[in-house]
Amino acid sequence: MSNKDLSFAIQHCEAAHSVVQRTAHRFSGRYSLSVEAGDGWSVVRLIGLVDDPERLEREFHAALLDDVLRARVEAETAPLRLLIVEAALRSALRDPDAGA
Amino acid sequence: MKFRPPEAFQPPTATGYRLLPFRFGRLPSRPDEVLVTGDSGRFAFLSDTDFRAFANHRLDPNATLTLDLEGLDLLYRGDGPIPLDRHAVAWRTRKAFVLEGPTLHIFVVSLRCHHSCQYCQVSRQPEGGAGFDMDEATARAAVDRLFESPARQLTVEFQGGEPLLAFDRIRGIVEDVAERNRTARRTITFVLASTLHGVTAEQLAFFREHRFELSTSLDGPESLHNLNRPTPTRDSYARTMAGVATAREVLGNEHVNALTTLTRASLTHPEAVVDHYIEQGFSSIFLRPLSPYGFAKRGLARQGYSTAEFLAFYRRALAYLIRRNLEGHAISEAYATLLLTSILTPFAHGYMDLRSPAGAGLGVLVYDHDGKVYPSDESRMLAAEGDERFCLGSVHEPHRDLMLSEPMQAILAAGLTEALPGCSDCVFQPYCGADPVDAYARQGDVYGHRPTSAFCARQTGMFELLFGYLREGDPDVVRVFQSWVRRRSPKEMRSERPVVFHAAA
Repeated sequence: MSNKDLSFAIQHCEAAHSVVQRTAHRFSGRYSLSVEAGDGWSVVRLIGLVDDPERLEREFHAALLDDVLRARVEAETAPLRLLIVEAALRSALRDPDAGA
Repeated sequence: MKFRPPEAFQPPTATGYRLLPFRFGRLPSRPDEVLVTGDSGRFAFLSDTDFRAFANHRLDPNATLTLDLEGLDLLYRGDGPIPLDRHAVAWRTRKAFVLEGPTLHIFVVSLRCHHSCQYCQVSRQPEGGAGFDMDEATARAAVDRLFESPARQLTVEFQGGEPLLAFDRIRGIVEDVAERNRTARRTITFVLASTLHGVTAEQLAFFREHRFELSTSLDGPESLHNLNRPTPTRDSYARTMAGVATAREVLGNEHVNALTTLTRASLTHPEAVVDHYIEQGFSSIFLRPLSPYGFAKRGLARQGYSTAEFLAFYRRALAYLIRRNLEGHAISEAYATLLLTSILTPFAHGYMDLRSPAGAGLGVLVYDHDGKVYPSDESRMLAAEGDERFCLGSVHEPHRDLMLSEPMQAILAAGLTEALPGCSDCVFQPYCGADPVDAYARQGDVYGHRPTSAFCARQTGMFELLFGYLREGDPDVVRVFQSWVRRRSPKEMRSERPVVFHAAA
């Protein structure tokens, strides 16, 4: 099996460029890759041993869907997580012997 | 604080609940289900449909599933402010080690050793070598640093080489620590990591007087142990077991522990290794893979194996351990116990190599025989190979300066799984840790690259294995796991399905 070059584009209305980058990072152990931002699109290029390009693209899109959701949940819950961590640190500094 | 911040008063969304921070992923064995883990460490397995409904605020606020997820701290249904204090306590409990400061202080009293193990990660020197023992001034300065640590509970561990070859130095350090602790009043545990070869009655009496915990290496049956741990007299196994027997007589079985280092030769014998530990009366076994450090690096080609090979071994060994426990032999696997403690209890496991922020420097300090201070044993190994980048300074420098040193800044920057690419959104993040020294040793970069990291692959594989068992929910297996976490015999545990997660239908 020889190295193959697979490219596909993802619209930013589907996933932000930063999310596409995050998904691409997950594939960076198996493929050489690049992610370029175009006008409203991210272009992903994977180079490596690809025996079934369509399956690989489906796998990428499935991972991307999860990462889109992760980004949304992260944005929704990050302020709360910050509040919790701040409260934890404040209480630990105020009263080192209590709570934990 | 008198007033809560405005965010805490946000009402639930129109759908009746707010999401609390969580991560999610899928087990290879159950790709149609979603594992959801909260920051508190609680978790749930959901069907894909339920998960999408949950994450998209489409669950009925009064449905049983919604109530269960609220009980697991994955969502909040209340009209009032989110109970920040309760969540803060959960966070604080899991990160209690952060404010303790270094609790583990390793004194490398000698580099000399009588073994020549291929896999040894320590920069050992010949038994008769000169200039490889810690001198008195270094030892006293190291004890100064020990008591500068803010931790109330301190562990003083003696390592080598073979530390028993410098027993007089151990005695001097212990007596110095005991004397100073009359006023410092810390809780101190002494640990000796030794082959126990030739340990004497006088030494054991001293260890008993100071309540030492002894830790030795036992790689399995005699032939395997002697193959892995050669000595000129080719009797390493016999001498180790003789030392174990004598030490048990004086200190008691529970104060003499062993761990095994796995070579390629070990991988085909998981059952034999486990059975040998049972036969020898150990209640715990630590199935430790080879380390990519120091002398061990040179032996990797001959004795090493892939992560996949290790995980195949570990899977088989764990299944066999569970079986043997159910047959009435109470023996735990130490690493699985650490991970399960983090998964099944509100507490962190405390294991230095698996913390976030990293345990290196923040949880452990190593005082080398020559007075150099390192943030971990592994960084000492790198230094022995000529790479001093993690040396924090000298034992004669104050604790504060060591903590503010450049290597510590690098470790702090790269030591948070909450912020590392590939870790921050990993479903296993609440239970895992960062080890920048290990990342550097394996990948040449303190931040590491998770998609190609053997450390990450091994951790992920082990978490998938344990969560796979928990998802199956076999009451007997869960009973064994709970017995490990609670340090009891499986016979003392009730057989029941775990109530810690909501299983998908």
